[in-house]
Amino acid sequence: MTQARSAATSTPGTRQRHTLRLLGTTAVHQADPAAAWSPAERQLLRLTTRQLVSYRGAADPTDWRALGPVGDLAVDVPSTYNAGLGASHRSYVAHLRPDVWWDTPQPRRITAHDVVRGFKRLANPVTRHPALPYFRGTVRGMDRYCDEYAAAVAGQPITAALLAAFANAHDLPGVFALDDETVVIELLRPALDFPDMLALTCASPAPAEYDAYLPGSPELHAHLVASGPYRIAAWQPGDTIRLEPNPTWRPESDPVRHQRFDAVEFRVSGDGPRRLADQISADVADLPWGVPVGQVSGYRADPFLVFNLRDPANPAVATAAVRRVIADAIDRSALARIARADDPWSEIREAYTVVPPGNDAHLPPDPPAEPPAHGSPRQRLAVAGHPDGLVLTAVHPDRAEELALARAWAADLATAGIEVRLVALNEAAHRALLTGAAGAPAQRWDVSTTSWAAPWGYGNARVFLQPLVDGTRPSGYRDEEADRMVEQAVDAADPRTAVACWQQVQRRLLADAAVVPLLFRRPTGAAPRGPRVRGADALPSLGGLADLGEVRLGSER
Amino acid sequence: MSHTVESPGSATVPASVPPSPLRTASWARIRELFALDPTTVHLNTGTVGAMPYEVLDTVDRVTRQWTGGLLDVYRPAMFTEYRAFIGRTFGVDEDEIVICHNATEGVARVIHGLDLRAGDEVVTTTHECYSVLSNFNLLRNRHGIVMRTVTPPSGHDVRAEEIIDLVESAITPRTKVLSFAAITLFTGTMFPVRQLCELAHRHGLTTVIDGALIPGMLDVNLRDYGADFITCSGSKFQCGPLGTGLIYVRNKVVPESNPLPLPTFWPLISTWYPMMGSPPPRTTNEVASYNMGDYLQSAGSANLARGAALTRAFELWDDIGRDRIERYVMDLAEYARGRLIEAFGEKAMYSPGVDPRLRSPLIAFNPFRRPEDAWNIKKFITFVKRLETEHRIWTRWTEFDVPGSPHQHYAARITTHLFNTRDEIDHSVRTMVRLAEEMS
Repeated sequence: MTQARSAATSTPGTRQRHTLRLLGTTAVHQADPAAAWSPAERQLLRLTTRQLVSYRGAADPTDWRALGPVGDLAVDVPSTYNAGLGASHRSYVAHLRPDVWWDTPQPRRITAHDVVRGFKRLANPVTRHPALPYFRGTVRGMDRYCDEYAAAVAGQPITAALLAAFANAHDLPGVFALDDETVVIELLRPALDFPDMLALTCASPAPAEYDAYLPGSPELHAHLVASGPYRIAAWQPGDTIRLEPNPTWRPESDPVRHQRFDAVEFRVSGDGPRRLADQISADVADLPWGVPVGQVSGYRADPFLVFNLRDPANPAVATAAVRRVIADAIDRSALARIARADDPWSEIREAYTVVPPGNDAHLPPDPPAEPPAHGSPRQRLAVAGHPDGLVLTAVHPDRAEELALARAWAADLATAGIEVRLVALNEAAHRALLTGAAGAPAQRWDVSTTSWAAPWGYGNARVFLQPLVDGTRPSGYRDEEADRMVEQAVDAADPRTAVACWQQVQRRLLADAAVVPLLFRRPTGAAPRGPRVRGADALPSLGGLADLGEVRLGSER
Repeated sequence: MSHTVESPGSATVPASVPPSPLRTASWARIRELFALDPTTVHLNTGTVGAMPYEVLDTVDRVTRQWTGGLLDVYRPAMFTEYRAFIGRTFGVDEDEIVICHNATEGVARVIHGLDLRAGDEVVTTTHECYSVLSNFNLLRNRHGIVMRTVTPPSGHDVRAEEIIDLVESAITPRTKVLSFAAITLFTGTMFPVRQLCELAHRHGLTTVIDGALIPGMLDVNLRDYGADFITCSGSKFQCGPLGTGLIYVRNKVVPESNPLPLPTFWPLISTWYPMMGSPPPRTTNEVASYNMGDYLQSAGSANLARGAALTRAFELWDDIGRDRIERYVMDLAEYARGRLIEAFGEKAMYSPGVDPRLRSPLIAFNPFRRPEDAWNIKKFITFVKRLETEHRIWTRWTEFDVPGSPHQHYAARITTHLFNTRDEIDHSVRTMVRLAEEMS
């Protein structure tokens, strides 16, 4: 592959002459910040990109120092104490470090204009980033900008030039550069979790070179420009990735990352987790890739079902009664047994609420105390108007465990008279389908498995729920009452009030079976580590995945 | 080591003492009283004043007098005579005045003494000092109170009625407290304090006023405002030492000033409070049932020099004449306002000018031509910094919300005081015009 990058090579300095070797069952398809979202993808981006603010790794992921972001590209987290945040909490001023560089042929400083460009790319209608709902409801003008962006390119062959023309001709009102070093981000209303949003990789700055490529495209991946301690040296989509040190990265200007290795290699293993553990024990690799290595306090929702509420293949899923039959027909204990066999490094629980335990807005009791609905699922399906049963199309990520789980719940639904046709998609295509991205495959669908890990661990009441009520997505639940509750939640100045409002939203989703929780998981910290590994801190923001910039290897084998 | 100690009672001035020569001294002579660097122009009294030499000397002298002795420091630490003297200056009694460490500490001690419960509402503004907003937020977290904040209008044409109407619109049947700054630090708006207190009386509200800028600027009777609590700085316009402030706590019912019963108040005490039982019921008339000021003041050993030096600053002001100082400060502010309007236009002004009731000696404005520069923090930081480093003119920048604007606005702010002159204003405005032009 060819990349526009600096010709310089980095001096080893204090760097260890090692290659960090990662082996995982999860293929990574995206390294574009405007498209990447899975924890594994963000684990990669941790090494290749910078954000205004970021989290530090900590030996104990429940340590408060790992839960609150610190300045990264920005000198500090904007706050009322550093004149970065006014009393109204609606205007953030971030001052950029002067010595953070793009790995371009002529190394160039990252400027506030690049931050603005990053936000505009986040709004692009092609990738429709999964985290976009957080920003649409928070950053002033973002919602309208997204809509106008989509409308401007609708009905036309989408090209990079078309996207760039819109982005460069239209300001995003709430995000603007005062000069090269200062960016202002204005919010619709106070959002105490906004620094956590700034820490998301999707809010990374973007170089002007990205205007030449469609977001998330193979062409862009051939021309990624690094700003973190490593750059992508080789990439076989869905397979091997090799990183090498980024020579323009300066350790003194990066308070959260290190550049310890000569290279970082990611390989995908088709084997199961036990074989993966054997390989790591045998020093074939140092760490599992995409597997949490540390305990975090919050569970993740993994998996749960969402429905295509906009344009389903079978309109029956638009009916709440049908969805309730589906929710009640699935034997979660059987799913938990399958998951435990396939994921020995997680604590797994049956799920009956949207927000998992350990996160704000979790709604105990879990499981619920209510008695099951009257009648068998088949009888209830008949009452719902489908005495002859239904045929639904279900999509799921193309991983072995996902397939096993899908087969299990599909079998449960079969007993209720619902035939499920399973369609496996690679993770990027699956994500595009759920968000309604322009590049989504032309696959009609009714129901999908998906998963969600909290991208931040403290004050995170919105993180599981807001994307589910985003009416712009095929799976987004649209309901006036729910919208009103969401408005109350995001408007609430008191976090306790916000939690209560989000819990109301959750009750609404569950009552309407707009979401079917299946399992919750939390890493146990038992994931294997190779014999060379002397330390690997887990990042709560990555669901307990290792902070690869902080991994320490010993020289002896 | 001398053990001859300055009595805290020395502040009392007998009525027979002839008027001080300072009463008729020229402003040039008065300026000489202050420890000012002659090469600088100090237009930032809104942040911190300049101490008179006598005040500075008092700090030093009293500190030395009380250092290393075996004297009883507890009794004088009540500052009884100092509080009585300062109280008389403001038309209130010793049991209603506390010498604290600064206005923000004072406001914190007031807010956390309020008898508020879950669901009780506090009406305040977004233009309050952060100590007001953060302490009420702390109460929100602790007790579940509700804060209702309004953004006051800003600009040359603002009238007092707009502010009163806005505040009244935020009051609900659950409102228990009305809190606002007498003079806002961001735009220098003199709030219509008496009218707002009367509004509070009509709704049965407790009033908490951030009066940080009152002492040394205004010749006022604090009781006449009709407020329950007023917290003040001793080191801004009053030019006392850093680390001095005042709390006025209404401790008796004088119907013509505030007919409401005294609010339930839980003083944040250090030492002096009954160790069993309660103080007597709060009075319902003009005779205090107990000394609330003592409860708030008592703090074991204290820095006695603070009280003495602050009182010395009050004495100086009384010698010069508080009415005279207020007139001078306000006249100079009007001169400065006029010069700034000539230079930058009325639209550049964030501080009220048309309504004389809202004018103060703090004047906030946008010196830049482009409207969008009003929300460019970098320009204001640079502007103030360059005034300081290149021209030795001390000002500050402020930040605040403007109704209807999605942006955080910024302003350059100057403050006039008794040691400033028209020449300084002329020089400073000329300099600011040149600098703003250069930066525009």
